[in-house]
Amino acid sequence: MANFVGGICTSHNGALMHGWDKQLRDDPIWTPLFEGYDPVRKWIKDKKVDVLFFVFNDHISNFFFDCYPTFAIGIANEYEHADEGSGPRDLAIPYGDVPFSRYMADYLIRHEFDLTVCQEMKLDHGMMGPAPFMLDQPWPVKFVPFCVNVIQHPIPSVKRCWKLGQSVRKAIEEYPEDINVAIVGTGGLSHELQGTEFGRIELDWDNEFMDKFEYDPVSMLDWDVKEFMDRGGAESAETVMWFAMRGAMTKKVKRIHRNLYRGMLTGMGILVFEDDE
Amino acid sequence: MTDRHYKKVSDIKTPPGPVTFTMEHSQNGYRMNAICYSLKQEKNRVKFKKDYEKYMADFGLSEFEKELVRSRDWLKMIHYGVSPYVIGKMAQCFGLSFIDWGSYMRGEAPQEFIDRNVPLLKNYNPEDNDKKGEE
Repeated sequence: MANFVGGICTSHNGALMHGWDKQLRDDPIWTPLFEGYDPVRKWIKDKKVDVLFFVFNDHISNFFFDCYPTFAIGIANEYEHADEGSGPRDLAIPYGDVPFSRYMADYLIRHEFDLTVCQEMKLDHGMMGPAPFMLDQPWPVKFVPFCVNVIQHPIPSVKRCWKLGQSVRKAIEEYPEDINVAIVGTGGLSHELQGTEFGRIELDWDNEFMDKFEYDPVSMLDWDVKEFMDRGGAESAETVMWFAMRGAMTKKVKRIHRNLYRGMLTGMGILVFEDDE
Repeated sequence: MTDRHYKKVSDIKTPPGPVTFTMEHSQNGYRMNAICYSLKQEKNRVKFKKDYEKYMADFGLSEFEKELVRSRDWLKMIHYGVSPYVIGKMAQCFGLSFIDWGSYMRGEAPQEFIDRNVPLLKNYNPEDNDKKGEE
């Protein structure tokens, strides 16, 4: 039976892409951000993770508004890197675990999640922003990319993403193969890119959010997405994707790692949790 | 067709505060988003930079949409329905960075924005008794 080893949450943004591609670890502005991911890399290694179920959003890199899916899952053997304007990135090829991906799509569709199933997907910074910070290359894990629409409103609610996480957890535990799987929730934290308050960051809220998210996530399940947008800026609507990770975990969790960094445009959080029950 | 009957670019209102990109924005901005999306490709960027009037004409933009591009008013574009995830591809062709078009929306010089928002030199973790960081 597959083994659910835990969950990771991380922000994703263009800065991660820039910082990695220019290899800025030794730049004093970037060092704390790189160091923030070191414990994640170690944890993934220690836990011998085979597959990451990666919940993220596409930024008009793979999908366009002609057909913008609310939930989409990749079932491919191999994925391409998106061209976000400077050509496809020089990163290792991401491979999928086809039988597991198909199984996950099948399970989730049978359990009331009406997914768009993708045989091709170009992965952008939503996933490949944080991935190289968390993992060596060539990638030691296989990926299941899972896209959530968080850019064209209305978007899935906090509770919907939480329930998604619960179902992902059940599915993993019923999978007959002996593999180690972790779930990753991405996005947020505070940022605002549209309008006169471009660049708004609310670091105190990010910190408070990370406390609530760890100790009392249920208190936020009925929140409208707007609540997050009011507190953390319009684009912190993405935070709903963190709840897919949290919904997969036990109520009480063991915190392995926590980090918060203030970038130029984004409050950037990292969490690693294991079950504690 | 879309719900907003703008006649001229100056009709687009830009109240302060955030914009939530809705289906209505997405429908209004569909052609604008498509042209920006096309500029992800280097060969298209070369054409656009060489003669953007021709590029817009070939793309079939309406007169209103062409005016909007000519205005280079990124705030109006956002309010109209251009997605922040593609607008930068066009701004880039006009020689503008992410921070350039972002600070334009604030009505601020890019360097002013950068100076105020330079990242902290350390992480911000309660364990380190560092709740306030190095502001």
